[in-house]
Amino acid sequence: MAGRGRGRTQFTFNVDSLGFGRGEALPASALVPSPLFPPLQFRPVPLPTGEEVDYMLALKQELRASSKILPSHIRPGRVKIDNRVHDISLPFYGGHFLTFAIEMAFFHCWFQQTLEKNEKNQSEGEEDEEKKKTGEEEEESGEGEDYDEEEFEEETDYIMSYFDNGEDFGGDSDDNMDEATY
Amino acid sequence: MTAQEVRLCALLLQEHFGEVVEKVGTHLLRSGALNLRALVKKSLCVLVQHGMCTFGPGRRGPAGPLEYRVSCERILYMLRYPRYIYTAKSLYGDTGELVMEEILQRGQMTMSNTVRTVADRLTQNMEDGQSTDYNDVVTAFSRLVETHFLQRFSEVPESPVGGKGGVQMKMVTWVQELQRKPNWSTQRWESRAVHTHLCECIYPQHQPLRCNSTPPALSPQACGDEGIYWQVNVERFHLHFRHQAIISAVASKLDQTSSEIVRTMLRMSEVTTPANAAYTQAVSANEIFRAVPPSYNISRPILDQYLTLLVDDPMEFVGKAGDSGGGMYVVNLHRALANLARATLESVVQERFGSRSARIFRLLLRKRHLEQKQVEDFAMIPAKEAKDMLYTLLSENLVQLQEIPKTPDHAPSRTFYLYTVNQLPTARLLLQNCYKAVGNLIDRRLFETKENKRHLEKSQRIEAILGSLQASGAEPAQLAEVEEMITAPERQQLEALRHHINKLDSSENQVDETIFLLESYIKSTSCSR
Repeated sequence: MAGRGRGRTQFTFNVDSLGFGRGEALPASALVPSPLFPPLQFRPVPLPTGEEVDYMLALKQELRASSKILPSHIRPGRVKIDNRVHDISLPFYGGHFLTFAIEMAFFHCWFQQTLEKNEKNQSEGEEDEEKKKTGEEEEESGEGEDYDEEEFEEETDYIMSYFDNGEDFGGDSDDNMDEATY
Repeated sequence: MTAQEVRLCALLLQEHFGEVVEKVGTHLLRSGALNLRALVKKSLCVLVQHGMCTFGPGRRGPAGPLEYRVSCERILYMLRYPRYIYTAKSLYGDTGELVMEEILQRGQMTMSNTVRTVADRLTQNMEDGQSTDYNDVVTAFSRLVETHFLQRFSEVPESPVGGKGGVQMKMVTWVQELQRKPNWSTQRWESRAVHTHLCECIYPQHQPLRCNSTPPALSPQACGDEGIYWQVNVERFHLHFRHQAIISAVASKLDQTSSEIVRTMLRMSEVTTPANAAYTQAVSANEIFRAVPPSYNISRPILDQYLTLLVDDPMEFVGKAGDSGGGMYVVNLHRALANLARATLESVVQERFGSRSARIFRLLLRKRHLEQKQVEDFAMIPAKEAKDMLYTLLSENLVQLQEIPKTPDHAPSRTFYLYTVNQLPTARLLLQNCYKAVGNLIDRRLFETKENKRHLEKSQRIEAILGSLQASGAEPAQLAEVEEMITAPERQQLEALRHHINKLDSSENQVDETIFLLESYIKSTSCSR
């Protein structure tokens, strides 16, 4: 037996690391793809419960819900200033216009004007909300379109009467985009 | 256009024109025709108002266009808002809670606006006939400002080079104006009817007031605080949370009385200790004895014994800084934070890999560098299992391998391989894991909501119908009919969804607590360097 494997069947690496020895059956072939996540050895500790935890959970969910109706929540597609629920005790941002750069100051002026125009629509907006609640969805889409048109008209005002001044002042040469004309 | 079309367009744009054009293009595709400049400016406004974005002269100097900088840290603090609000509630009651909530949601507000909104909300929740005294809200607000939980929003843009230092200076110059508050008359509004009149007189574009009592002019200009904006001082909250963590650690390690003593020490040195200091200002045992709350009935010799116990504790929460005044004691803030972070790391290893792996981890933390044989001996774990565990920890990057060659050719048989754990890099690694975990939690929550969107919308509509029917006084038969529109399996599904979302939200809050600990520890090490 001595010398039987010598020089012929010796490997250059340690055969044990393969996971099976010589002459044994090969490991079974995989019939299913390997699992997405590695199996958990230990289950995670359960979440803490208690009054404090529940209260913070409720706070978190409330914050999330109410931040959606604040004016800070900007939705893409329709450039709306205020959404359905108007909070007319505050402007869009409570900051003084000097807090923002001078190029935004002109933006702020336009904003305030449009805000006042929208406040007139507030009562109409509230009525529409109630109708929406009873499930008449045509009303909602119709009103949305009205908002769109109003917005676009006001956009044009903004461009023509205010924005030119801002552009020259700031001297921002980065934006080569032409104002969209509608 | 469809989602697939948008995705394909994005890929094509990226190939030909690069990432920036791709992002802009995709956004325009998704949202239709927009004045992009307006949208970008609006988003920037929102960010600036919430204090997450700063601006200043750009790289080309004061004559060039302004540069905007968004602070990642500040955005991550949004996870902690419920904790801030809850702390305000526990310290200053419901009024404080509402004030904090309003300011956090709006970013910055004037005092008059806040007081008005909060009083409105409080009155809404109370029964008819009662009212909210504006004074209560003003008191709560003032106390929040005095204890520095609220601070003035700096009006002048600071330079990005000065960065945080610049803001600090601006804060200092506004210190005198910190106390400037609006002139508030203290009229009591007795009934709801008068309350609605109050609303009318607040908004100048509505009709003028008609009732007999002379109301104060409550528009911001008349209150005299136009332009004074307040924001939440998150650093102060963080200080509070750190102290809370230390006190609860002492309570669980020793006992309630020792934690009270440490709480007293922290309270006394709060004002005098500079931020980010490694130790609090030294306080003498005599002063502590006078300041401890009398309900604990601690006599002087007992207090001395407790202090000695605290100093001798291996956790080193409290240190002795001198002998005058009966003994000068300090609270070791940075060391306490390091211990808390270490405990967090150890518990993470324990929960993920088992208590024996945790034993190995603790051993390596204590002994720094150990060979594999030494690890097996010290941890008293059989060689095969110890090897396995070490390799698992190594693959997760919780343990590092240090090679010390004996010969210049680094031959494996003639090199020492030492296992080691470095607390700071491991803490950083776990912090990144926490961020990833919260991201995953939010993703999963959005996914669950999207999956069940149809059910949610249906249930919301039915609730709205029920609400309007109840308001208009319908019969119970009609209400029952409407309720039956949701079938039982749907109800079960909605219940399961609610349960999942609650769990995910709660987990986010929980992970945020770990994030706070690890972040504080990492910040403390960078300060002391």
